[in-house]
Amino acid sequence: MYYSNELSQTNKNISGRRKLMLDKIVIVGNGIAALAAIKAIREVDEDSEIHLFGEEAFYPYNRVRLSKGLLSILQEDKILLQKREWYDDNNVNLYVGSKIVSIDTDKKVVKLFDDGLISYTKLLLAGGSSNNKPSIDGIDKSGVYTLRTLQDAWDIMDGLKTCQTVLIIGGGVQGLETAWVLTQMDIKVILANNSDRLMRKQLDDKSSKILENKVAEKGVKILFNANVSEILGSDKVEGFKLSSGETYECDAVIYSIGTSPNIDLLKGAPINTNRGVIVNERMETNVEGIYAAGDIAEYNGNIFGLWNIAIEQGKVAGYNIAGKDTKYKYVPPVTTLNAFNLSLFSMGIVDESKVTDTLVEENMEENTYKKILIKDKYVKGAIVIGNIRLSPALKSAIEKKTSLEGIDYKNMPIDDLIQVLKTK
Amino acid sequence: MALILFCENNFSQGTEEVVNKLRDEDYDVEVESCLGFCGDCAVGPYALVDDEFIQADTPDDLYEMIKDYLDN
Repeated sequence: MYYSNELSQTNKNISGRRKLMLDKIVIVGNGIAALAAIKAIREVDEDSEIHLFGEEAFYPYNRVRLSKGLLSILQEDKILLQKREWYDDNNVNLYVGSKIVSIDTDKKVVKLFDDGLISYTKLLLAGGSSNNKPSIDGIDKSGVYTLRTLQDAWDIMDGLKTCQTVLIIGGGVQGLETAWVLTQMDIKVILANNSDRLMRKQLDDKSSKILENKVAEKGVKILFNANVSEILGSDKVEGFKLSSGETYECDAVIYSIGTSPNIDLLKGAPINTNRGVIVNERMETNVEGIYAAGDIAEYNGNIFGLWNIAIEQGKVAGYNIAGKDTKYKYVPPVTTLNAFNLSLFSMGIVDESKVTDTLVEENMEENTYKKILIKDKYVKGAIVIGNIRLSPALKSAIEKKTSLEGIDYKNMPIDDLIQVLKTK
Repeated sequence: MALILFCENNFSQGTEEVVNKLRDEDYDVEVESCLGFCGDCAVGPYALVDDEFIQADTPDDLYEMIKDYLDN
């Protein structure tokens, strides 16, 4: 495969005073950050060439749907981010099954898996991240899975057909969502969590306990402070061993212990990286004309790996690529979980030691919990479990930095406070 | 008038038809690129009405729930 490294489109403006050369924009990665960027570019510029490269064999799809959709038959067409005709309609050249393996910033070309070369005038790195693989003896045995791609989801559903007990490594959102799906399939689940509570980053002790109770109620065996040291079995998974020495039987293992940005293709390129590709508030890298957004981008030392942040970053990158000067505005991270017959919302700061006031209402019997964290009269964080109906108002208050000045918030029910916030 | 927000990522749950119906009835409807409720967005249709989260099993149910909210 060879792609011309000559710009195929040039244009002269009508006045003839200057030559206008259309950009040839190459986008590496076809997830939500890439699509958000394309929408932003096309708002400003309908004519530049856009070449969108994705490693997977599928049209861009909604990755968030994978863990929730395992119970149903996941079909590509049902989880697409955009209809197939959207790419033609928006003058986008989409290449699926086309991994970019390296970048030559001097020649301004990217190299494909098959040695094909693609030239660019502007480049967006939006290749996302990959699931971290635990360093455990036996992790390459048959019957060990992780969920990142649609193909992974199909492999898991195929592989679990004959399984009775599955070990899930990781007690974060994806691990819990997967556990929830498996319990509904009457598969026995053991969840190995390396800390002392579930969703440690997003929940405090009490809310985590509510979640733990609901998870355990469904028969999931939770192992806290558990370090899996070995996957047992000859070729195929037959069990696992903890560093404490205990052993358990299981037929399969699914790990979800976090992600790392896909920066391998930058080896040898003069693009600054740390854990991810370092970007400024315009989502520019240190190399002119090269941008990054989404799970691959590191902004102010942060890599969030969250959908709404990837969209915002993609949008900012897209506008700047198209010449519309735009700066990234910090989007506070939000986590929502809908599993184990529980609705959960967590946003912003959840560590009490970082705020000045905390409001809490809890009912452990009914599994409901509301906590608002306030610093200097501003809502900085919130956790809601149970009825999350009013949580968007908390989200707005955090995002809009609504002042609590003049509100007697310490002496009113949380729902009343939220109603007051809605009027602000 | 109440502001009704939809997430375009939630359209795959059938909410685009709810948007169209409400717009035909002249309600104040906006579609955002992401509302940040991704965990819920992936499991069913939802909307934010006046900063309240409304979730349903089907798009028709969502439409009815939004109408109920607006009428009360």
